[in-house]
Formats: sequence, structure tokens, C-alpha cells
Amino acid sequence: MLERDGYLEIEEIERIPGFPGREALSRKKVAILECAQEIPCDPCEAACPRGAITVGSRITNLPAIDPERCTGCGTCVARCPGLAIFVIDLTKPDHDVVTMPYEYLPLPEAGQEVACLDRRGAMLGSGRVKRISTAKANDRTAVVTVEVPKGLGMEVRAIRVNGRVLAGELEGVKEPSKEGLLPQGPEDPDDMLICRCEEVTRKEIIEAIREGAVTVDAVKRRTRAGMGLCQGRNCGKTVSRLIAEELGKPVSSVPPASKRPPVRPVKLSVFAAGEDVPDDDK
Amino acid sequence: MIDTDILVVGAGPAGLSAAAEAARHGARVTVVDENEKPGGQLFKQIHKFFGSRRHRAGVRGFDIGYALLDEVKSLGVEVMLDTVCYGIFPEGVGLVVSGKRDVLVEPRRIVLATGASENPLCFPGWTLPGVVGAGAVQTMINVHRVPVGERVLMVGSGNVGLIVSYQLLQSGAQVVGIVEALPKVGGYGVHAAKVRRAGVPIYTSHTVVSALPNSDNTRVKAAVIARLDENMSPIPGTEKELDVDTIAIAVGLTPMTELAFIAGAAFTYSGLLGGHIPLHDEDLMTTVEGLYVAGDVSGVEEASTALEEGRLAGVAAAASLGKIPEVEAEEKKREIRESLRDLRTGPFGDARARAKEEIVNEMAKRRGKRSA
Ligand SMILES: Cc1cc2nc3c(=O)[nH]c(=O)nc-3n(C[C@H](O)[C@H](O)[C@H](O)COP(=O)(O)OP(=O)(O)OC[C@H]3O[C@@H](n4cnc5c(N)ncnc54)[C@H](O)[C@@H]3O)c2cc1C
Ligand code: SF4
Ligand code: SF4
Repeated sequence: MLERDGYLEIEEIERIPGFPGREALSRKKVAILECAQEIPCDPCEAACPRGAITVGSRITNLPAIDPERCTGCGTCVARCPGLAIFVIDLTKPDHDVVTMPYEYLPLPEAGQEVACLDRRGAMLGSGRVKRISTAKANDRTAVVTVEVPKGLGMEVRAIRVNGRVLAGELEGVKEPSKEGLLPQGPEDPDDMLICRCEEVTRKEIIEAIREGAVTVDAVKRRTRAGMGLCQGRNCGKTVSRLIAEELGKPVSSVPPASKRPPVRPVKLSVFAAGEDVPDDDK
Repeated sequence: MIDTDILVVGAGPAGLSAAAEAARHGARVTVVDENEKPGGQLFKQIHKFFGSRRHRAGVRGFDIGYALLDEVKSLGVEVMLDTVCYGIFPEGVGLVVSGKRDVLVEPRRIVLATGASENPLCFPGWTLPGVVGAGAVQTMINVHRVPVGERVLMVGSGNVGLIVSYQLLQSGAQVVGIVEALPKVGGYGVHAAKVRRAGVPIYTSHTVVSALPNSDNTRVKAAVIARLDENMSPIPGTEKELDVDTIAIAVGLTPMTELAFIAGAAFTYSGLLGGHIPLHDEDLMTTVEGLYVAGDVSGVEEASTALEEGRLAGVAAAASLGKIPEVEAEEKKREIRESLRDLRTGPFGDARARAKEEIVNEMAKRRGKRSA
């Protein structure tokens, strides 16, 4: 499921207007727009020279494909910033063909054998690169056309070139041991630094709050958290959260820390020099 | 003394588009940014942006930055880089140029477009080398082109976590997983799908419970993650230990509002938009007359909204100086607000639209009280 897992299931794709329909797919090469959320985006609409893609007047509309107008030319593939457009051809007797955007190095060459991956990055088998386009108009997005095993045209959405593993895969993941817990970590959470500039721990901050320092400024005066080089830009939010947690109130009720100039570290010599610096310093 | 009509602090998309819009109408505009390169977040973004075509969607972030910069330069805007704005005082705005020259500016209007800073996440081991913000990761791999590590765990599945994971894969690092405390992926599905099909698992309802150090305590050696129950507490026995040398943190951004605070602006709170935010009206003016906010500093959103907010603040500031005839200014503002409304629709945008509206309403109420 897209929202939970980050990829679309076939059933989700079949419901969106970017899906050209099974009937069209059975008889022609056609683009499929795997764009299922109403996001403010529309370059695909203008990309198609045949007017086959429509977003319409509201920019967040889902793009729709008109399979009758689409010739499968592939122009739109590199124009979609979401890399969500593919052209597929399921009409060949002995293999399917998938055209996809590809933005990794090295680029594959025509004729090269590549590994085919599905939407989850799982290996599906091997395919052969039929064509690769690096046209200038694609602005550095290569468009790769791959012959994939018959029946996998709706599945293959990525390739692995020269065996280069992109993600970390699941090697190196240790599940909980039989005894249950893994080593908890290097330190007691209470000794964890919250303000690293002034080295103030979580425990010190909690203590200050319990003693009545219930604003970011009060905690700062008592513990120095937020007085360092970053001016509290790093720890301020964590301190507000700790205050809110301790008081059982929403974070919004904790007032913002007051800010004083300079908002960035400035050498004192700068102020000492004033505006009239010697010529050789200008 | 620098003589200018409008001082813009921050040369990200919001600041640059504010500057362009105001300069187009004849205002003298100066933009300052503490970095050596303009563009704010844009220069770290090597991916193609989503958004509308009008906001150059489909174009890579850094190319949008270059285009904006050309535009402001051609309009005669002065862009001062390596220049920190350290405070706003009754006597003027304090700048430090190139780390050594203290300059006071007395602009007639100020637009704060300072963006947002990354939230930290504290867990045992978070101070070990190898635990880094996702923004820092981007700066390293995309701007300076140095690797951060070989095996990375990403914490947070918002758009930043997803996009930086993708860029890590492109840079040659392995991403062993993305953990997300909520039961669903925070960012856009299309970004999640990109990393999923490369094989990156997304662990929803999970968090990182600790970072384990190597033998001499100089680097992260592993991350322990665990499943969370409905109260967001780790469930004992569900821990997994992942071999990683880097833990990247992408758990949200906080508007960088210090300057507005120092200037005396009133604040409101919106968890959805990143925390404490300067109250502002429909023109993005704060409770301090002549002080405007635009982009992530007025509530964390996206580059496309930052561009539009910048335009709005630019038009409003220039109009308040009499540079744009009132009717024309109102027409322009109306058109920009409409486009902002359009960008804030859909399941991700609706809530932001409401949060933004609440801020404007609160401001109106406050003004009503004042004048009553
Ligand atoms: C990984 C990632 C991916 C993203 N992808 C997208 C996308 O695909 N589409 C999209 O629409 N949005 C995207 N965004 C969001 C977008 O980048 C931001 O919303 C946008 O950059 C905000 O613009 P801004 O101008 O408000 O702030 P920024 O771009 O943050 O610019 C603020 C500038 O102000 C400077 N500054 C701050 N304080 C001072 C000071 N005191 N003195 C001087 N200078 C100062 C900062 O250094 C910075 O340069 C992404 C963000 C990230 C992190
Ligand atoms: S494949 Fe070609 S014709 Fe079909 S939608 Fe894409 S650009 Fe249009
Ligand atoms: S360009 Fe891609 S991500 Fe954007 S609306 Fe079209 S299909 Fe969806």
C-alpha cells in the first residue's frame, strides 16, 4: 500500500486515471502514470506532444491518460519529476517491454543484460536493454527501454546494472536475539546531551523544569542550554518538548525562546572596527 | 551606509522572487545572504522539482536558482553574498559583510526570507560522529561532492528524508532503510516509490532508539530501531540492529524567525508549519510596520509556495512605497493569492491552507482589537 509501504499495489494502480486500462494494454504500447496522490504537480500535461495527458485546471488533480491519443513515444517519461511515468508494451508474443526513467551511474548500454526489480525492489529475473536515450531534452534523466520476461510488464519498474546494489538490502540486519533485547545503547538516556554546545544533559534539564523552570528561557538561565554557538537553534525545540512532556501540556503552549542579536556568531573585532575600516580591509 | 528601499534577507527562492518583483516595479532592492552562493535550499537540490510548470516544475532545483539569479541581476538588484544580517534595531539593520565589516542599513521596508533550520532528534548516541542532519548530507554529497558514509539509515520519511535518500543512492551510498514514527509515509508517494523500487525498506511506525558506537567511540557502528505502539513508545522485543556508519536525521524544519523576534514581531504557533511563526496579514506583513516575511520563515512549505509568497511580499512592499498604482497592485496580489490557494490543495495542501488562513485571521482579529 502506497501510504504504508511507499509503493503502489497493482489494485491501487488500476483505480487511478493514469492507468490506461487492461483493454488498451492488451492491444497497444501505452504510457502508464503511476501518480496516485493529489499533489501540486503538472509538468506531464505539457510534456505530451499529443495531448494524451490531462491534469486540468486544478493543479492537484490526478493526471489522466487517454490511451487512444497516446502513441507510446516516451517523451513524458523523463519529464515527470516524480519518475512515475512508464511506457509499457504487453503485445509482444515472447516478452514484455518497459520504458523507464533511470538516474544512476553507470548507465546501461543497449544490448546489456540487467536485473529486473519490482516496485519493492525485489528481483524478478533478468532483462535486456533494448534502447537508452540520453537526449538533451531529458535533462540528465536517461530513458531506458528494457525487454522483460513475458508477463512481467506490469511488475518491472527498476533495473540493477552491473550488479550494483543500490539499497542496503537486508543483509546486516540483526533481529532480536532469543534472550529478547539487544544492547540498549552507549549511554543512559538521562545522561544524553540535549544541548551539545554547552554539554547539558537530559537529566539536568528535567531537574531544572521540576524546580520550576518552565520556559525555554528559564531552562537556559538555569542550565546554560541554548547559550552556545548555535544560539539554541539545535536544542530549543527539544527543550520545549521536554517542558511540555513534564507539564503534560501541548508544545504550542510553551512560549518561544527569546532571541537576542547577534543571531549568528560575530567576532567582537567587527563591532570594534565599526563602519570605518581601513581601506586595505575593504 | 547602504541606501536602499527594500532590504531582503535571504537569497533563497522566496527572497529572490520578492526582490525581482519589487525591482520590476522600480524599487531599489538589496538582497543579503550569509552564504557564498545564492539560491538558498535550491543549490542543494539536484532533483527535478515537482510543482506547477509556472514554477518551473520538472526543472532541477539548482537550475531554478540560476534562472532566478539571472532575473534579479538583470533587474538591477544588488545581491550581497557572504553577508550576515545579525539583528534589526530601531536605528537600522545590522549586517556583517565577509565576516569583518559591520554595516548598518536603514531600508524603508524589510522582507525576511531566511528559510528554516533542521530539527534535531535526541536519542542515546545522537552526538556520535556519523549522526547528521539530512540537509548537511545534501550539502556534502551534492555541493561539495564528498561521501558521508557507506551505509546510511534515514530517520524521517517526509519529502526531505525521501529525496535525500534517493540522492544518497545516486551518490553511491547504500541506504539500508528509512524509519518513520507515524504509521504512514510522510512525503509524496512518487518520491517514496523511487527509493522503494531501488530496494530501500521503509519502516513505518518505527523509530531509532539508539546509535551504537564503534570500539573507540569515534563513529556510529550500528543503529537500533524498534516498532512503536499507538502511544509512540518503542515495543520491547521488536528491536532490530542495522549495520550503518551514518544516521541521517530528517524530522522536520523550524522557521528561522530570530530576526522577526528581535524586531519585536508578535508570534503564533502552528505545529504543521514548523512551530512558532511571526503573525502576518494577507500581504505577509508582520505586526511590525514595514516588516514582511516570505517562504519557509512564514511557515515551512515548498519552493513553489516560497516563490509565490516572495512575489506577494515584493509586490506588497513596493506598493506600500507607492511604486505600484493601487488598483494594479491589488489585482496582482489577488492573482498571486489565487495561485497560492491552488498550490495548497489536495491531501497534503488542504491542512496547510487552513493553517495559513488561521494565521491571517488571528492577525485580523488582533488588528480589529487594536483599532476598536
Ligand atoms: C531535500 C529537499 C528537497 C526539496 N524538494 C522540493 C521540491 O521538489 N519542490 C519544492 O517545491 N520544494 C522542495 N523543497 C523545499 C524548498 O527547497 C524550500 O521550501 C524553499 O527553498 C524555501 O525557500 P526560502 O526562500 O523560504 O528559504 P531558503 O531556500 O532556505 O533560503 C533562505 C536563505 O536565507 C539565508 N539566511 C538565513 N538567515 C540569514 C541571516 N540572518 N543573514 C543572512 N542570510 C540568512 C539562508 O542561509 C538561506 O540561503 C525541498 C527541500 C529540501 C530540504
Ligand atoms: S508516451 Fe508519448 S504520447 Fe504517450 S502520453 Fe507519453 S508523451 Fe504522450
Ligand atoms: S509530472 Fe509526474 S508526479 Fe507530476 S503530476 Fe504528472 S505524473 Fe504526477
